[in-house]
Amino acid sequence: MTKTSFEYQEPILEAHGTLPIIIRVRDVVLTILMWLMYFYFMRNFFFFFKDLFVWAFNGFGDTTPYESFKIFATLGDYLGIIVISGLVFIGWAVYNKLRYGKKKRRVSHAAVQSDQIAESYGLSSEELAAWQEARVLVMHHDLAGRLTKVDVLS
Amino acid sequence: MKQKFLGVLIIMALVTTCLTTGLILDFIFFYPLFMSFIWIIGGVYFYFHWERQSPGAEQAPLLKTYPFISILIPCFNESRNVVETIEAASRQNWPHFEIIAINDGSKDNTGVILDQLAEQYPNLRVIHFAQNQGKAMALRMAALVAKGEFFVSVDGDALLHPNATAYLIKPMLENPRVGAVTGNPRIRTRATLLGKIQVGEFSSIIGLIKRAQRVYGHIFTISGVIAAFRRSALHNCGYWDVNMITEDIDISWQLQLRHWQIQYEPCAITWILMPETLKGLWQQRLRWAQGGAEVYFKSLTMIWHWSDRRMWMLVLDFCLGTTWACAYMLSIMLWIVGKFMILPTDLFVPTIWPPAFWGLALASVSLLQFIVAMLIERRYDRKLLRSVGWTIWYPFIFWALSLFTTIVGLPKAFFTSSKKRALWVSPDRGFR
Repeated sequence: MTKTSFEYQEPILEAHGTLPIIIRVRDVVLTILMWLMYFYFMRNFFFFFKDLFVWAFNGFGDTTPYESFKIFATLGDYLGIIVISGLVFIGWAVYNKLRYGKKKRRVSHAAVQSDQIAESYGLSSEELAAWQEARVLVMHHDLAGRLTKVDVLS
Repeated sequence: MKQKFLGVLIIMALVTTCLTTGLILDFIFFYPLFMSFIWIIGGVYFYFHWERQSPGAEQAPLLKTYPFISILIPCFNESRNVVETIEAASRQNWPHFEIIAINDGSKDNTGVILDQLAEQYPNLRVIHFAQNQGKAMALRMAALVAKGEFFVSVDGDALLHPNATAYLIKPMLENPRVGAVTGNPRIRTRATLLGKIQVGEFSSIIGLIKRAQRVYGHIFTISGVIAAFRRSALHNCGYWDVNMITEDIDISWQLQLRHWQIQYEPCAITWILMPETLKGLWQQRLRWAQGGAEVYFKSLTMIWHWSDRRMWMLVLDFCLGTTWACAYMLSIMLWIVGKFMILPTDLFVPTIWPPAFWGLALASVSLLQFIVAMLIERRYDRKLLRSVGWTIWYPFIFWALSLFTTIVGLPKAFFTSSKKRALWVSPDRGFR
């Protein structure tokens, strides 16, 4: 491995100087409100932990009185679906690796030669070679997108 | 046109099935939940299988050979960005390469700047188009005059990491059936709320999806902003289609339909500009949605051969995503109609808000997905952890945007002539 010597410039643009402060404050306030709303709706989920603690403290007895425990059944269904689909997905990946991992199933293509490229575009090999050596070109196309003229500038 | 009718019929059949079986609300809830977990599982598997041992983007891999390569940079009205794009491209840790910048009939002074840069950088070549022809044509013409067998394609406003080329070319040198490799776009524009949400989205949605699809074996699309191609693979599938509005999705499908592999390389980083206004974001995402639908319609009659069976999951994924958007929109419409007239019991939608538990489950799973993605991706982006606080928006914004762009993009793709040249203007590129 070779460590890059290039000191990469900081590419992230946060526009500290150009974006009005009022917009930044608005974004922060709205985001805090969104989080508060989320935690408000999640409050029943936190009650589950309280019930869990109380249930454990009372000696792991009958769970019927604890309303929040009912979520377990639903979560169990979800978890089942997720585990099965995840296993199928990973099984598929492992199967592919074992079955085809080191097998060369398809023929490799040789690198395309310039004359093949020229032919596919309806050009002469000399014409294409000149364009491939040019540094600045101007290309003209017709309305259908066909190449009509190429000026080699340098 | 036949393909388009077939494509719409399949989606209508799926929506009707949801509706008539009374599963519409279940589908609206379970589809995103299920997909979130598939992406998480795929992302984690990819990380442990391929990614964890990698030294990371800051160290270039050592290769056995370093063939001559061509970096293709299509530019349309990029006068503001092209100088730094060319500069970043010129600093690749690669011994022999040329840069081909294509000035696609720009209205600003991109052409003048490129001519000046050509004098400054000896390996920079410039193609000027007399008139705007679109990105696909720009790439086609650059590929025509390029000297390398391998191409790296990067947008005119993106900054390639110095080691990106090495990471992109490596899989193609190791496996002759790899036709393309897509890299890891990281967002630069993080001034506004929209910018910050997209930072999370690119990790959580795009990064995890690419990883999961790589685990499956086929990728829905390379990222047009950073990808590498083998010339013989492109030649084999006829290069980029100038009539497709998202040439990157189309070339991905065409390559895979000819059994070329596409790989995802997270260490191949490029820094990109994204829209930071709602209008800009809408335009961009609508184009993506329309492009996906165009490719779906185009490919629908080509994929039914048994040898193409691995593409079926990509089609199914697209169909289910579109069905989800249509089903959600239909449920909203039925809810509104139900306010004014009596509907049959099966069609009556009492509320468009998911039951409290469902909504919270979806939001929580989305946040879990983001946390997993961030743990995987933080090695590529030192400031990623700063995005944590903004993630609360992501479940709402992403799914809402997906819903509306799909609903508008599908008919646009249906009614757009398949022979019309795909030309588009980039939306805003954020604040500086």
